[in-house]
Amino acid sequence: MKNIAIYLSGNYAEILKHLSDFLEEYNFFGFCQNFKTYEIIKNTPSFKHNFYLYENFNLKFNTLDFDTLREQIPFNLFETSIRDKAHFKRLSGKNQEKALLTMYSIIDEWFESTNPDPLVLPIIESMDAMLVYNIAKSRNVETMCYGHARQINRSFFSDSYLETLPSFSKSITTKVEHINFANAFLNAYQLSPGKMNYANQVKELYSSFQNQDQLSYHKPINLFLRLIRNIKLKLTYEKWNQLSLFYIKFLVTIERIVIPIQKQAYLIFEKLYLKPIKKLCNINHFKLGFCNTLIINNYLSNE
Amino acid sequence: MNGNYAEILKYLPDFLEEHEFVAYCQNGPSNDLIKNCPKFKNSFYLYENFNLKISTLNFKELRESIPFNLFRISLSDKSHFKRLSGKSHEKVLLTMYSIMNEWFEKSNPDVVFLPIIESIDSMMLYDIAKSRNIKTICYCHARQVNRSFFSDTYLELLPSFSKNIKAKQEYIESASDFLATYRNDPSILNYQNQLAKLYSDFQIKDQLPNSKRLSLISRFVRKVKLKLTSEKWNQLSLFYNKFLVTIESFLVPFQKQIYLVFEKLYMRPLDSLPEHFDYFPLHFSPESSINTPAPFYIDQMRVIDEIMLNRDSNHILIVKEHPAMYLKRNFAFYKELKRKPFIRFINKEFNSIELIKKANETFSVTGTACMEAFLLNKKWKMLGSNFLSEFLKENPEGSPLDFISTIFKVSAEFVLYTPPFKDSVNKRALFARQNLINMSNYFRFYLKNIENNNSN
Repeated sequence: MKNIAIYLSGNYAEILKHLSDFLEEYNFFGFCQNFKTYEIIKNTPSFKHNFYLYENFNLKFNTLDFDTLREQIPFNLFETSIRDKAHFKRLSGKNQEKALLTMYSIIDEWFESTNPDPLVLPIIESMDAMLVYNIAKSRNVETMCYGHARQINRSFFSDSYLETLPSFSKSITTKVEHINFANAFLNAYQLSPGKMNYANQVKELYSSFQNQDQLSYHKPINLFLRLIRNIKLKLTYEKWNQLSLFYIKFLVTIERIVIPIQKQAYLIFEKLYLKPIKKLCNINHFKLGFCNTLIINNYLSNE
Repeated sequence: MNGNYAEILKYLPDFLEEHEFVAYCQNGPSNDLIKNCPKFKNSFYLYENFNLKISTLNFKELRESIPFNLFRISLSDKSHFKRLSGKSHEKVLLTMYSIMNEWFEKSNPDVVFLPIIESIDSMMLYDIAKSRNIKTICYCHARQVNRSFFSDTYLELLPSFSKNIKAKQEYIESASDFLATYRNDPSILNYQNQLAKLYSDFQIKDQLPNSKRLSLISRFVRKVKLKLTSEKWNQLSLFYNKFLVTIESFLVPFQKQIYLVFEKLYMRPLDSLPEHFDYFPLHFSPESSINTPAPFYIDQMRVIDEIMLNRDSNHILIVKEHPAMYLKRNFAFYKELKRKPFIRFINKEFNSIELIKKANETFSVTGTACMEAFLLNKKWKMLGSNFLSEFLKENPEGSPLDFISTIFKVSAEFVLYTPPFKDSVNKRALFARQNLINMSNYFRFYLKNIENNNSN
């Protein structure tokens, strides 16, 4: 039986805990980025073993010989660190370095004890996920990164964090139905690109599902309990987990209220200060990217 | 003729009588000097009709007709025209193009000589010449060996004919002596020492006459007059810039002391070296050696990210501040750098050569740190291009001895820089008759070899 390890960041455990029920021919291991994920997965019997990134993080962080460890790592850790959006970057460079090296030491031990093949990464949007990916690559472990062709709302797996199409795509012959589908999509898109938005596409996908039965998931606990749990974790295991900062949670929470106000303020700023052009002639176009976004942070080194 | 170069270049026709000279003057003082020199057949002044042109040109049409990238030219500006809004900057560039293009139309030169490219006007002149297939000659100085040469490119690469010239035994011996001295004590070969030696070697030390500097008030009145009339758009002659340059010598000692405190309390630099490390000395910024050949790297944070992203190792990168940049960078730069992993500052007093000698690898954009590492047989990587990197691209197995002897065979003993006003060895070397004799002989040597190279 092959061992599949899944790196479970954010709330992905809620859905990926069910994967093992549909792929019974594999052994599943959960590599958990946070406590919430770990709580979900450790109660999933079809996962053979689970690991929690911050279980012994504080101890390791205080005792590792970083100077020696730094010289042993077979890939570029700075390149890994730059994937972080705005979480670990708040730390000093020295502490970021220690956090990275501690993560390396812990995650490397996971690989040592489970020997997985392949490693599944539902998303790479933080330095821990990138670190898991790089360790897998350095150990010649197959990586499967989830990729989503947003415009046509189709999903695929890629062996690269760049989410390139699978390497075997050239060996599969294109069927007539694929060409017809591509034609129909292009006609619809060129006619009205706005109609092909993500929400519409998901709705269409869902309506085309034969089996719409719902799998179980945990109801979110109330705000107060979540706060207490987060404080407890911050004071104990997850002292160094910058992805669970209260400030970030607060920013995400108020986003919906702030956006309409920001939009109006920007309108005035644009009119009075930026003074944008109204007529177009002989132009090139560059749409500014959302920043920090995983799309840019992950591809930066290649650009 | 930008800056004060006219002061020295006005003599060049006297030493190169076989050629006709036309002057393209970047400012009023240059134009005043050159128009009184009968040896120049004609002279053109950039700001003569600038105000009229900038108000009347059809910029939309002009922009579409230019055969090269004007944005790249705009980046060669250090911090003068960048003070303008993007739109005004664009208008200035297009107006310069229109004026200079007319100069070329009227004078039809075979060769354009650029003593330095450090501003948008000189970069523009260079690009117009290239777009018209006119030969460009850029002055270059191999600082370590204190030899001068000409290059056909703004990247200041060694002349294209260098491969056709055999290295004589005397060049190899001179290169060998130089390397032995350098490796024994690199500090001996500093610029001032080299210049003093060059001057003492000159056979004819007679000084060419140079204009007396006007009094501060007269200069001020002249500047005000120019600023209010023809040079309204000349950002290179801003009072603010002149003021900054004037107070620089008073400010530097204070800045150094304040930086010392800042470094100790905030930067907390390393006092000793780790076992394994890479080294990157920060560049002076903005400066022509980055803005002109490698404008992508003007932002030093971009340089650091590129170094860090493309290394094979996780060694600490030691960063050292440039001595001329104390308190000149934004605080945000240091703050951001402190938040980058695997990067440490080193105490500003730490010896740079020792850092190069002990580093696993030394990085630079176009700076001399790479040259020093190369001469000391240490590992280095240059992010931009200069005459060393391009020499090694053409000669992958080239040794320091090959490189230095190549410089010797295609260069000569003369200097060319902005004439200093104070009496010093710099001024005496520049205005020595022998300097102009050597420069003009090198001109002949260069033109002859370029022609031979082209005919081959």
